[in-house]
Amino acid sequence: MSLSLPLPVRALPWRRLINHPGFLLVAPALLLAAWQTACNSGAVSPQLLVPPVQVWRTALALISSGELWQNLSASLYRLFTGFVAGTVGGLVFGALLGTKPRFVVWFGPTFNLLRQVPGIALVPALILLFGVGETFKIVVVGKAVFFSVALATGESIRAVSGRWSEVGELYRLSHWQRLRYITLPASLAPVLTGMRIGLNRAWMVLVATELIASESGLGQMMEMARQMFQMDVVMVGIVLTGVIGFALDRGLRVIQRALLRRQGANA
Amino acid sequence: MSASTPWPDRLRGLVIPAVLLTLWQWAAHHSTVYAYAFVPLEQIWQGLLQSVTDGGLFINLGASLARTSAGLLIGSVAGLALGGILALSPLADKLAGTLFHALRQVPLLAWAPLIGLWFGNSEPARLLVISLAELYPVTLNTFEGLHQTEQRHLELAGLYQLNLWQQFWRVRLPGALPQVFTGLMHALTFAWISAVGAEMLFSAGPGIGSMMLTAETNQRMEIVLICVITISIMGALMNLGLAALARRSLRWHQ
Repeated sequence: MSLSLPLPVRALPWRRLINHPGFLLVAPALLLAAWQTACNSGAVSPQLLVPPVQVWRTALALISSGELWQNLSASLYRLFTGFVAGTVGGLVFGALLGTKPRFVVWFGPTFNLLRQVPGIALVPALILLFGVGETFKIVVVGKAVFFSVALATGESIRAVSGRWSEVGELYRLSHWQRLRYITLPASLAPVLTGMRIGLNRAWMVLVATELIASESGLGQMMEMARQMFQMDVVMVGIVLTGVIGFALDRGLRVIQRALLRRQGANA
Repeated sequence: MSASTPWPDRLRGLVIPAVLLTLWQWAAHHSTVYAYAFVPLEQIWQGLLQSVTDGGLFINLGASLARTSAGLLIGSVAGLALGGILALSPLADKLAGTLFHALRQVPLLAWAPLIGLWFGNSEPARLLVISLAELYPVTLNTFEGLHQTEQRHLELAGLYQLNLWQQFWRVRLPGALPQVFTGLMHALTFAWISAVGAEMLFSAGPGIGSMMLTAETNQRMEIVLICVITISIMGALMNLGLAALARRSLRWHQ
């Protein structure tokens, strides 16, 4: 139930207009129109605001010159390398955390301590350790993914072994059977969510890192454009980072749903 | 580790950090390759003493905290207002909702170059980044909290024939408080991290982030590490503090 507007409008046609799915595009369209008008009117200096048409043209120019792909691929390479490393490490560490209480005793406090350190705060320290290159960026990405995945894996496995261990004992399943038929399917959803959250955080931290210290990559492209007052390039970068972030999140969600549906079908 | 961990286990938990510290110390004294990266512990201690006694650490920390608080205030107020409007008006929701979610996809610090172009390397730029950082969690959680007022509470309000304002103030708002608090807690974490990030990107003026960046340029690893530890401790303290506060004020809800 929601409150209605304090306006004397007739309920039915107004409601139908608002609830039409196309209505969702009104605000973005209005924004673009206002933006273009503001630029056309000359009221705003061209250094402060670049018309959307020019942003589009700049985007095309960057694509055709290959510069966009160069920076994009650099960023994506770091993201995926760090993601794979962080996920593998996180799954192993998390599995140990979830199954072996002794492991938690020895390594738990260190894990929780290091987890408190924000990724971006590590950037200067990592630069001093590894220099400004690929390594430290991959480490930053890996760190974000590792802690997210390890935490999700550890907690989900621990939850599973609590609830379903009796079932396993009842059916007298071997260790491997228990792993395959109980632990893995039950912890799949939380682990995938952990991976998704880790990827999201990693992307945010990677863009920030490239803004601060990098010779290539989307963030560096945007930062250099900022210094050269090329607002159109900056806008292209903003749109692109947003689209990639969205695509990564959606992509993993689709995979998550597909895997869970298959799992549901097999059950 | 909970409060009921037996103390032998607590000691065992400290073994790994101790081992790591020992390895660090060994590398600091015996390795020449990463000489400026692995600074010995006594040098870190010296750096800490120096930055505490000449006030540098506290000045920068204070500036960061002030900035975070200011940004938190602005962002939370804006977020609460926005979340409230989106929840109470389906028109506003349909109008601004898509735009809001689309803009949310952009990583926060990716807005920094744009903000830098408009505001330069200045305090408003930093505050804007911090406020934006918490706008999203606060708005989303406020929206959710207000949206999910339980049906029976609303029916009760209808029975008492409360007008719109009373219904909001006495029924929807108290019901939304736990969710709003969750939003504020997330906002605090984001605010602190984005404050550090904003200081590293707009590094004029005092602040832990710019202190860290300057130390990195001067290759003073001990200052960098001190800053990292300070940032982490402050972040953890803030989370604990706010969690305790939330528990205390929401006790009636249980």
